[in-house]
Amino acid sequence: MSRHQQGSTYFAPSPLGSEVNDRLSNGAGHGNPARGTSYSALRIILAVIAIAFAAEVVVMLILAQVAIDSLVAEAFADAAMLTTIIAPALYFIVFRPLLALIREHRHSKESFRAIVDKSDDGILLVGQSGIVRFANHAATHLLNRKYEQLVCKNFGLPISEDKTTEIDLVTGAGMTVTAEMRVLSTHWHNESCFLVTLRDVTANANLREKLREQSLHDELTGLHNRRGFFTLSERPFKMAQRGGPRVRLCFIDLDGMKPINDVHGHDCGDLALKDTAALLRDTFRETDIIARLGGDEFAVLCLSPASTTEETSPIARLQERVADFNNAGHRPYQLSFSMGTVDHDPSGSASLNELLARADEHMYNHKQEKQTARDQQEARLAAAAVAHSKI
Amino acid sequence: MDAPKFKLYVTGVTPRSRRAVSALRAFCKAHWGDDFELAIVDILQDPSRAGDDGVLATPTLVKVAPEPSIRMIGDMSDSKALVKALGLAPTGAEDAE
Repeated sequence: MSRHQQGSTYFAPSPLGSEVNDRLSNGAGHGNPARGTSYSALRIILAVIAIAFAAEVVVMLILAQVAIDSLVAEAFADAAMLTTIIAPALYFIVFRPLLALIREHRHSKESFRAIVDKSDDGILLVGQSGIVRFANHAATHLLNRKYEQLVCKNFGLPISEDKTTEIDLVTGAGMTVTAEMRVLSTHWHNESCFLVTLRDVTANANLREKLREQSLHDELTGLHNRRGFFTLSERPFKMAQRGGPRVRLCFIDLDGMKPINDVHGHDCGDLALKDTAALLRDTFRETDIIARLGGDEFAVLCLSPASTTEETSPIARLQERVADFNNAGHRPYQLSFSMGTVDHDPSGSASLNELLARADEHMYNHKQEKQTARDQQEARLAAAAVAHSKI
Repeated sequence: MDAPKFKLYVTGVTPRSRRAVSALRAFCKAHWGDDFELAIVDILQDPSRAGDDGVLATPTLVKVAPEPSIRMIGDMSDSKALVKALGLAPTGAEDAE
């Protein structure tokens, strides 16, 4: 049994319940609830018995003084004697244990209240309709609301029972705190309800998010790295395999990276990679997953590609932007890319890795075609130069 | 029966919010195909909405229609819990998770 389950079992007898009832009935919020009602009644009863006993003793003494030797005097004397015996007996047999029980109950109630109210974890009791029945001090603090602003408000029906969920608590306009929420079923005043514990994990969540970002991103370009690409592509790719929105994979290689590094230095090489990232961001949609796989290789998973026509394809758009970039001439190098694209076939069983390998193959073919074209162009130029020199 | 209408309150474009949105969309598609309405409310983009609608935490899902309106909070990828909270008949896809 978990710590929380133990808590809920202890919760059921509900010393808290009576306290909450006090709070709700007298609107005392976090103030002291009404106490000592049973104490006062007990004191009155004891006082009445004591007064009755004293009165009888007095009457007995008076009767003894005036020496009335009668049945009335005897009756009074007997009554006084009986009271003398019964009153202490009553005190020891009934009232003392009762007082001890009341003290213990009060102590238990106060201890429980201290545990609930001094807990760093927020505790909410939420009814079956999602309405908050009770909130401890930490919960009011976490949600930045007063007790009265929280109780009777609709928190929402906690849907995931007996498991930890991370949620954002709304603490003000546009301000949130990340909290771990754990939900357990319990009973309160014969009503089924949820015991919701909230733990502030903002610092951990922020750190985790930072680390996650770092682990999935390429520091130089700000694009996703290889791990980020595969992590983020997994879901849309699986959805495409199940007949969801189609995906297209583009493999892009920056041509001539080595000459840029050799001629202009590695800083210029880094700049070329950053320029490439900017061009890719500018070309593809925000929802597409763009990554630098490593070195001068980039990949893009296009989600729900609109069309495969030449005019609208992202490859055509990228070529246009590269031409614009090179024409602007504000860098000592020119950018050129070899690209390969593959549309995912939902009827096939190719994995993301296989799709990437095919796109890589297409890219390599493109690179070869470009190289062949360049070689032919150079050969033509050389032949033209030879012909010109002969003339 | 009218198409169900939902409103999902999220906080920014965090991975958690994205997960909640995509999980809920997939859940709705599995149960109603394309015959549902899902409005996403980002309380960072529209801070006053959380206050106006009394939203205390995100992700909060509100079933606006059909009546009765229900407000739910928690892990939207927990299909079994969603089915139970919405009082739907299980499709069997929940067990596959």
